[in-house]
Amino acid sequence: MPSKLSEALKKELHETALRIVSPGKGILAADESVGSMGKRLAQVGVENSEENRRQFRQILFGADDRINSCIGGVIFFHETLYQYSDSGQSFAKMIRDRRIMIGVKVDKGVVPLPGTCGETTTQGLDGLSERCAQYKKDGAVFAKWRCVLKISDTNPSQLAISENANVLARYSSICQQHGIVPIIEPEILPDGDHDLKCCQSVTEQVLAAVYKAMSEHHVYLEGTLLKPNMVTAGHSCLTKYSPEEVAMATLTAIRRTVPPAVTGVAFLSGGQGEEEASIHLNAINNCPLPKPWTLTFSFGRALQASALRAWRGHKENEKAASEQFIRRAEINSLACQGKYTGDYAESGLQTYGSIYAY
Amino acid sequence: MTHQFPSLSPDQKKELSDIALKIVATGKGILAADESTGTMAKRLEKINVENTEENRRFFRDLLFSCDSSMANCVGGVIFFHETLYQKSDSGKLFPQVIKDKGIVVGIKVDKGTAGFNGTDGETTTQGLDGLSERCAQYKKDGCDFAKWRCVLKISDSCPSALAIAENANVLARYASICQQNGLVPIVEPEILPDGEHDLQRCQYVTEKVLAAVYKALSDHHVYLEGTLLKPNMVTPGHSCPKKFTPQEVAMATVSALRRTVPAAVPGICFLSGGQSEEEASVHLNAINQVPLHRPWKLTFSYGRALQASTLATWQGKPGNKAAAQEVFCTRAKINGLASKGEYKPSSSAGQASTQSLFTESYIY
Repeated sequence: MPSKLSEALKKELHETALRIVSPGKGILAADESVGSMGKRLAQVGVENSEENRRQFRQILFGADDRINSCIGGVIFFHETLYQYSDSGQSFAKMIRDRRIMIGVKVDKGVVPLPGTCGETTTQGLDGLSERCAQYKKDGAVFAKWRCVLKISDTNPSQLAISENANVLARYSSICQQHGIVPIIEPEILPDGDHDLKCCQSVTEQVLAAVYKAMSEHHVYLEGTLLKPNMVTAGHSCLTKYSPEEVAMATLTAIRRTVPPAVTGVAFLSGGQGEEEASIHLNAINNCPLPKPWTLTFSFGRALQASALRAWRGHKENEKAASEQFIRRAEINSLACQGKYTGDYAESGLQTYGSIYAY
Repeated sequence: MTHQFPSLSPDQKKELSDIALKIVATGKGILAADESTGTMAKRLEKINVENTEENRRFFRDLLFSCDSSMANCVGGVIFFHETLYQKSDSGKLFPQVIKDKGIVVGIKVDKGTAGFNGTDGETTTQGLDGLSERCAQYKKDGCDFAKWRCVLKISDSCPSALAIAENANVLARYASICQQNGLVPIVEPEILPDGEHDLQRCQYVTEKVLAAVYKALSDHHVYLEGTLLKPNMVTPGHSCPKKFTPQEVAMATVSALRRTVPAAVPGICFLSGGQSEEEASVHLNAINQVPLHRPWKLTFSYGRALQASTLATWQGKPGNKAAAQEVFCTRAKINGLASKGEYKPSSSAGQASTQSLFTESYIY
């Protein structure tokens, strides 16, 4: 029986994971690739130049102290990890000085699985060990790798589920060797007209496969974080579900598949609007079922959309943009503690319904 | 592939969940009184009692007709088939005696182990044939839960991938069939303590086995909230030269469970295996004091560890019945306390050994 990780390394990984998801904190996913950033900037009429990308990240990373109690970690894209602020400070140092953990996206995007109906796996394992070692030297203490699955009549297939679970486990195993906490992201897209039940069923199957693979690859669960989709109906589903229904379906799925040893679950926002994502996160944290892990956020768009719109590429809008970001960070900090009331609380629609319906 | 075909209605789920929660209500555990005829022979032989149907009936009657306060620490009793249809001295069927005390009735449904070709003495467990019909009948006859035991062992070559996968699969099939018939399945993947392996090896194997079990349960669409787990505690092998404290056993056990058993499972009821009565209680108590979050109930499902002294007190003599019952109730109470982490062994030496040796920094 091989002993892979030393006690000291396990302790380091576990403590890092705990710090990222400390009470009231979540993750700012600022790791949009050049291509993804292009889409975001296009929406606000800004050219996708390296300088513009740097300017926008500077707004986020330079936000005032209010975000220190809301953000436990920032996920960087490779380019951003080596950029500097206007005053010559490295972004990495800026974040580290605020006692926020530095993470880095390490996957190299999706590639097709031949013989399937448009399904993919994710590449990036080649030389990953060496890259992790370098990122660790450069200040990163956690990493992120995104796999993508989708729901349709034929999908996700057994192959897509097992292949993506396996690659996530390989990636996790390699990261941990270097003292880097792997964030495991098996995103099931919300595209489609499937209902809430269907998404829940698929999410349970996918997560069960993910954790079986983690076991097979001897991944130290206490030193990992999970970044799953919330369980929601497909975008084109005609039935509308309340936040409580989304919360119940999500929490039930997680309780059936994610071992208690996993330190934290930080939901992705997917296509959800900023307010929708916060309300859902809040409902999840208020759901009357026991939760042995922290349940928080790892939001990209749901933290940045308003800030981007306020900025529109103009330096004079930086303060306003910063305020938008801070506001969203504070709201999500409340939501991940189940304390966000917003406008929604007034309507009194807070019954969670029967747990046996899930 | 993605479509879920519902296997249980919300009402069925509620029934199963309620039964499971009732069995592992705070301070309660399970009396495993399901020894087969052959196993009962071994127990009775130790006290020089003949293995007759009447002697088996008498002894079970001794246990079941204890004071109703036994229901404070016993949430469920597992029966062997024969016993389910026997009567107490008062003429009442045993399941009714148990139910009248507010205790849930369970039934062993497996048909023993069967060997695998090409392995080093490894086994799977049989009993799936006609299981659905048998479960339906047991439900009519008063049962609300079932038990199925698989066995794995640790050696240089064991457990093999085949043994792990096959036993996990058969446990999942059994569980699925039980739930269809309103019975809560107790899932028992016992890893035997035989061997010289240390605590870490047992922990490693337990984690692999349980991960496979829960993957199989997921694949078979088993409703976890309506199941219970009956695992071994994580202990060193019987012949391991190194000794480990109850706190070390507890930490290794809880760590293994936290890494593999989803929070949706309402309760984990440990088997006692070869442990003595006191050892089993002390270990259970330490498990319930581990400073890690434990989202499931952690209690007992003991056979020998509840009955050994009782049997020894009885000696097959009717005149010893009351004394034997007293011994049994004492043991049940102790384990009830242990399931809450409130058991304080009376000898001061015992107390010291449970408090002084906790190694806080060990990472399992």
